[in-house]
Amino acid sequence: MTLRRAYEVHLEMFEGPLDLLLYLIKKNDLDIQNIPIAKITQEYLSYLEIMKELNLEVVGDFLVMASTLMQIKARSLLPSHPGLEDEGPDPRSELVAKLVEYQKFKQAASFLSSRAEQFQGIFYRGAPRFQEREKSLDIRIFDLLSTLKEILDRAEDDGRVITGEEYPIEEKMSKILQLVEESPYVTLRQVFEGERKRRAILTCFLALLELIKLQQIFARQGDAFGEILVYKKEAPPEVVTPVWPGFADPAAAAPEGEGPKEPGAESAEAAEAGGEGARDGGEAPSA
Amino acid sequence: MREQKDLKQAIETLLFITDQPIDVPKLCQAIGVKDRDQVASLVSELQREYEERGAAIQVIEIAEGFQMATRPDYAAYVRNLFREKMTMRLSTAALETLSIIAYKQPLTRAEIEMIRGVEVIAALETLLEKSLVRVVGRKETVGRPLLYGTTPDFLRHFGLRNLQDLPAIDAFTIAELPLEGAPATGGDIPDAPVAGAAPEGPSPEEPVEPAPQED
Repeated sequence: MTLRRAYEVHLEMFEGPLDLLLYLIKKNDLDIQNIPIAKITQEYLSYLEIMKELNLEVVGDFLVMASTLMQIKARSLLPSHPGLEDEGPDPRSELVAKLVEYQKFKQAASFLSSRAEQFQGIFYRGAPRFQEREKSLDIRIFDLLSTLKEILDRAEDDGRVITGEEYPIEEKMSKILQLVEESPYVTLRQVFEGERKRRAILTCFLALLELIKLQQIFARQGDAFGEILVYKKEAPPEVVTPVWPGFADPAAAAPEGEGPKEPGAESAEAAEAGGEGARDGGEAPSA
Repeated sequence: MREQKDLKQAIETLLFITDQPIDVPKLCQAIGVKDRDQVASLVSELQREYEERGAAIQVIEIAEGFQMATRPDYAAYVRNLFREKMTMRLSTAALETLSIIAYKQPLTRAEIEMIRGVEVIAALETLLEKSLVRVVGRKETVGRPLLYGTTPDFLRHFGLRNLQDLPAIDAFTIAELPLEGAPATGGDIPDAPVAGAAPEGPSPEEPVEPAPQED
């Protein structure tokens, strides 16, 4: 499958294998302490499959986790030999411990986020330093993938024959733009309506990502696991309604100065998935 | 001994002019008073006065110091004035990375990645750039990797007086997986600073002794 390389998305910037596992656990309402390993492994792998097809960079971390899962699964199939205790730490309990710990930090993160929201209306002396908002998807990539997966499951397989640019991404982009032009929003599913072929669906999905990146549309989701809605991104809003003020004060940054500053500078910059120049606030109009 | 009123106004002046939170020792230094308790209680008095007067401005305790700040009620006007500018919002990846640093600092990038299970370079750069995080040293192990920690701006952005204001990490139970945007289970943290509601007891901002007597 050769979707164009230019549309490669660096997933690891957003979420990692642990996120995917937690997502699947939550989605299937599983007990974190007692994960049905065969089931979760299978699901995990099917998501990896989609990610690969999309040319999302399925990097090492995801693959390592896949092999960990399969290792755990293999182990659970073996009859336990009382004699062979010394096989090192139990990968299963290690994984569970990791998930549990990571999840705490996820909660800490959402705690912080609610704090920031609580304090968003307080400003300090000196002209408030507003900053360009970070480019982010605002919805979880796995929610997007999950919808995509469902749609793909119903798709006709178009074989592996590649016949040039049968489905140019530009075409799909203008199709989506037209959709959101016609109504205030469309559901993610509607975006794929009329697409039968697997490759067409994938292209359509990439077109969607590209438009989000270009800040022409944005996607929102009501509840977790709720329907994803796609909106057109309006020109800079008239009235000031940015919902996320903060008071970062870069002026304060300077002090500690000197030291070698960053972790991996250039490479990461290249990895920036988002387009440049996020401009307007375009927060979700309350539909 | 100088008049209380004079001292209080000196403090008010400093709190007005600063763009960074100032702690009591620093206030003492600036106004030439040794008695920290005296200064601390003058600060509380100021806080109270602003509160009682129903002033638009508040004196809040934040990021290990005190500072004047606007009130949320009038936030909209501030934003109107600075309308073309955008405000800060962090991605999930950045927030998670930040929370790991906040709780585990100082720690290295590899240690963060161990917990997140994924590379954090980009998130870390964002945080450094927004000065929510800084390099605080190097770990004395192979390769002497950089150690990261949070900044005063971090405290300020999240409305924390100090790091102890963070709820214990184990307070976050397994029960609820964080859903995007779901309000977290709060700790016993002061709510948004209604100014008056600041410190009652001894100001928490310093453990008695060592006054950074550097200049």
